[in-house]
Amino acid sequence: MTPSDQTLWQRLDRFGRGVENALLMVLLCALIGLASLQIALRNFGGGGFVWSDELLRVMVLWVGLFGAVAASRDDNHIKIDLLSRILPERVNRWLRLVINAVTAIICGVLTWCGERFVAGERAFGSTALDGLPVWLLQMVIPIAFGLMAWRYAVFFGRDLRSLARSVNR
Amino acid sequence: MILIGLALVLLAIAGAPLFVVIAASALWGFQQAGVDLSVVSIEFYRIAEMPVLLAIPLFTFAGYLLSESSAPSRLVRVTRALIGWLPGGLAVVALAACALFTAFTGASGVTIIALGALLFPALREDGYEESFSLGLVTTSGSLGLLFAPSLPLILYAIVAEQSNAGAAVSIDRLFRAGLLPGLLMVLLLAGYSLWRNRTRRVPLATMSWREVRGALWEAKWELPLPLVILGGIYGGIFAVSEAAAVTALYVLVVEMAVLREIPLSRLPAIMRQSMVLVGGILLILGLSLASTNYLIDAGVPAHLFALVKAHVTSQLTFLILLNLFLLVLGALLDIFSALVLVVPLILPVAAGFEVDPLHLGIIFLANMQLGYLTPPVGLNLFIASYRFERPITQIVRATVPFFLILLVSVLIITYCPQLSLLLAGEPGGGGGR
Repeated sequence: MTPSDQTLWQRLDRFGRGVENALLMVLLCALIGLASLQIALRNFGGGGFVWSDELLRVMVLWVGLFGAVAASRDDNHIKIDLLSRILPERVNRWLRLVINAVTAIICGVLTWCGERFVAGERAFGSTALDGLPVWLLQMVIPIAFGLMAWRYAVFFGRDLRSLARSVNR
Repeated sequence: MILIGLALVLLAIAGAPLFVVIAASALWGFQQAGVDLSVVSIEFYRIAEMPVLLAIPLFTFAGYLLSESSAPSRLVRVTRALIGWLPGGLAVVALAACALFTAFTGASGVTIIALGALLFPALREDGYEESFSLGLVTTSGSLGLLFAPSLPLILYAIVAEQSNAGAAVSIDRLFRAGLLPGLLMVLLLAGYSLWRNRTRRVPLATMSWREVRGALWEAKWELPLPLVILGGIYGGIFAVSEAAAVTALYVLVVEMAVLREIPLSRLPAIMRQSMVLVGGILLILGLSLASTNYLIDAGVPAHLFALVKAHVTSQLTFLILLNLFLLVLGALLDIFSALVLVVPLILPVAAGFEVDPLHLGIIFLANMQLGYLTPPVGLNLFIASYRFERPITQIVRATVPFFLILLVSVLIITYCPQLSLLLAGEPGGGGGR
């Protein structure tokens, strides 16, 4: 990797992180705003609007999945970390390689499942939120798992490179 | 089949993200049963069909924001002004403040970071032994789990409702069920703290009305929060998600616009941090909906019940085994994963032994609270070791007496169902929503 590659890579990484942060901020603020507005309307304005409940529920799914994508960036998922503290670093590197590969593959399969699910809903043509095709809202599932698969594939590639380098040496 | 199971367990303890292990087991199970794999996504989408889940991102964000502000130090000052003049008062202050803070911030370890960092030096300054202070602060980090509106309570109610094993568990009944058991834990720990420091002869601080007034005034913006939220929830005025929305909006406005303790530039990072935790929880919840669905289709809970029933005859033996099992579980799994993975399986079994699902929830969470303090993966131990820069072994030794006290309270909670059920009220009654 040349230095300019590295800076490009770092810039991409910063850009991705910025997009995630912006998306999470917008979603969370919208969630807080809409949930509060709903309470206000229910108590003082006679009922609120019909689809705000549904929109809130979908936004929880979205914010959760993008939170999960953000967790993947720093490999910060809930895990039982039992062995890595005991095993020597040499073994740990191999283990991480396997784990990142498996994670990327499983996320890939989940992406594929998500696409099939969305395609099915699309063919069925059901709508939500006052006429919006429901599959548009569900697209977040394959998108998020796709991003996570990509993220762990990158981790895998990085580990593989550093392993290869240490073996060559 | 056994080979695949073994490989998955190995992956899990080797440190693979838990959601991967859960997803893999669900995918593999449905594949074996010849079911179209898109079912995993269909189950996952049920996340968007549970209105209560809204409470999780909102409370988590409010908790993270509170712990970044100076609210923890104001909370300590108020509690100290009110009960600090008692003998052993500061220890009791620590317990009370931590319990309240944990109830509001979930159980993610922020209590030790936000409050423990204030209380530990204060305790040392007041002449409490290092080992006692360390143990107290580490233990308090997960105290308050049983008080509304803690996330694990909400999550238990959600999971119990989803697995529809007989009686419904309403969130507001569960909140009331947690009150007495939670108080029992606080009282036993407070009693121990007083007894342990009975020979300490330091001049007691005097109760000063001036200090009380000053502390209350300083905390005037945060004070309404517990009053309104706890009153609203326990009084059945708010639904949980409404309480969460009010809390999040109020905390955001007060900390960012009124008190301005957190620079606006910090906000994206705080939001990101809190949503990373939410994402982790929802991911595991969504995928375990799929894996649980497979297990129920395959009749695993029924088999499990038959298996247990063949060896265990009385409710008492069942409860003893349950405690042992949950102790081990709590030592290995974090509270959220344990909830979504194990509750659907043990709910029907417990129902077969006529254990009330509310009581089961309180037993489960009380046991998991012990899990925060047990090696190898006790979260509080690691956070305390990191925060106070002490070796893990020292922290473990310091927490042993507190752990034993909590163990006693877990046993009382388990074998006195009345403690949990007394305030819960009749199903459907009690004025909640």
